Formats: sequence, structure tokens, C-alpha cells
Amino acid sequence: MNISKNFLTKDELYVVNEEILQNDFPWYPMDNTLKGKAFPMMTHILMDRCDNNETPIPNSKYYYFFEKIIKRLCEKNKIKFTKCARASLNLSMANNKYPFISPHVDHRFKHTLVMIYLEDCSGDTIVFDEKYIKGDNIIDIESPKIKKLNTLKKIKPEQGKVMICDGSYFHTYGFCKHNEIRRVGVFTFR
Amino acid sequence: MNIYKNFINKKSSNQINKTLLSDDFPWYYKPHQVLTSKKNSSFMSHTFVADGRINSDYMYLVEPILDKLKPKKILNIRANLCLKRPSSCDWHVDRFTDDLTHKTAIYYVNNNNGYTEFKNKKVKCIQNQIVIFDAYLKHRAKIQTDKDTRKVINFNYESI
Repeated sequence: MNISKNFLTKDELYVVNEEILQNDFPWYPMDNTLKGKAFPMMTHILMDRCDNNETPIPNSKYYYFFEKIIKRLCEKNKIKFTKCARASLNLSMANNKYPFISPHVDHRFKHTLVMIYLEDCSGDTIVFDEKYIKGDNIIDIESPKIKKLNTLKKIKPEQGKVMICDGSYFHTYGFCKHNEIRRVGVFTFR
Repeated sequence: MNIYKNFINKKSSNQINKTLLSDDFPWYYKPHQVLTSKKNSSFMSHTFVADGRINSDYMYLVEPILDKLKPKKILNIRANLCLKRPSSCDWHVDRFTDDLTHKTAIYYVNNNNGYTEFKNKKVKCIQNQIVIFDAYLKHRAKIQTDKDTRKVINFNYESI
């Protein structure tokens, strides 16, 4: 796992601040239901999920903006980028019921996970020390297994920070405070 | 203040509810429901009409409602979406005319336990219900805690 602060360039931050974080940037409701527990959020899909090795087709003009950042990150970390499996920007708000969403891995196949933090906010990404091997890729938030998970790393969202790790680690995110929103980019690739 | 249940036909009401949650219906982040408020009441919105000008490709969705409201002049039409959380916005009026002589209508798109609160009344979020009132009446939204989303469409208009 590698976490890099201030990875985005001045020009990239300009696009984030002047376009993506502006009030005219479109978001779409997402039924983020994991194991019957709903964690409603808004999303801006950059690339639809390609779980079955489909040819990735960008869904937003911002896809290539982020792909360039990810390729630069891969080069820095000597990780091969073959094919995008999922790319989206997520917007979440506070939640009183749970501290975080159900831990999960994004795909059942081997992949790399990248998080790009678009703004300073609460709602840490939590990476657990448990890896997905086979079977269920979601651990129910109310399951007793939750207490047995050990935190490998907590990453506080800060604008321009990026995180890259093996996507087979179960991970989750905490909800932000009531006076905040949390906007992050989530990317997976083969 | 007038409250009407089953305001438009069921098919149109269901179409609005379905479309507002569809993958291609865009929502925009607004930090505050009330401009002057310091309280966090952030929400998502979609403006159909702003200052009398059409601002959306989805105008057809609200036409069945306009057919019944019969406005003389439309000032503003905006859908609001709130994600589930215990919150409310501050008391306010929808100020689109200086003398507040216009009407405000709130159309409830889906059922949830949120409501619109007036000083002397609470109007529940019941699908296909509408409340129409004089713009000078102060009101505030109470965000739902049961359903994932609370969707309403606000109309500000001059009536005949």
C-alpha cells in the first residue's frame, strides 16, 4: 500500500476545485445496498463496472482526466495498469446509524484499488488486514465478524491525497460529520 | 393553504418518482437549503425552471402538475432530493418576488416520514400530494429518517 499526499498537480487541483466540486457538477443517486443495509449515496460514474472483462467504455468526459493521474501513480509505484474495472466519483453524507459501511472488496478477481481524495473531510477510508480469498466479498456491518477485523490503515481524506493498494484487502469508509459532505474518487483496475 | 391528495394521475406520478431516481437524471449539490443559513442542510437539486427560463431536458415530467396548477407565470421549479439523515432546514420563505405575492407549491414525489412544517401545520411526504400556499408563509423541511431518499418538487409561480 502506498499513500501519497499532494499527489495532484496544481492544474489537476484546478479542475477538481473549479469543475468537479462546483455546484453544477452532476451527481446521480446510487442504491448502495450491501447485505440488505442501505447506504444511500450519490455517484458520478466515470466508467461502468467491468466485472466480466468487458471492454471499458467511459461514461464521463472526466474519465481520461483521472486515468492520467492513475497511470502516473502506477508508474511511480511500478504497478502495471492493464484495464480499468471500475471508476466513479462518490458523494456521501452523514449517517447516524452506522460508523461505516459494510466492509467489502470491489471485485472477486485480482485487482488494484486507487482512492483519490477530492476534498478535506472526515470519513476515513479503513483498510483491514483481512484479504478476500473466495466466497462473499461483503462483510455485513452487523455481523460478529466485524469485531474480529483488525485495521491495517486508516486514511483521512485530504484534497490531493491518493492511496493505491491491493484490492483484495477488505475495506470500508466512515461517514463524514453532519456539517460536511465527502467526495472521493474510487478506481479499480486489472 | 390547500393540500390535495392524488394530485395528478397515478401513471404520471409513478413516472416522476421513477425518473428522478434513474441513472441518467442529474442532481446537483447545494450546500444549503436556505441561503442565509449557517446550519448544514445540504441537499441535491435539479432545476427545471430558473427565473422563468427552462433549464432542464426533463420539463415534460412536471407538465401534468403545471396543467393542474395553471400558473400565470412560472418563476422557478426545482426538484430537491435529501438523503436519509436526521436533519431539518431553517424556517424560510421562497423569495422570488419582492412583495411575496406569488404562490409556492410543494409536490411530494415519494412516501417517507419527512414532512414540511408550517407554524401551525405539518404536511406529510405522501406520494402525489401537493401543498399550495402563499409565498409569505414560513416553512421548513424535516428530513426523513426511514426511506433512503426524500424527493419533492417546488413550484414558485404567479397564479391567475
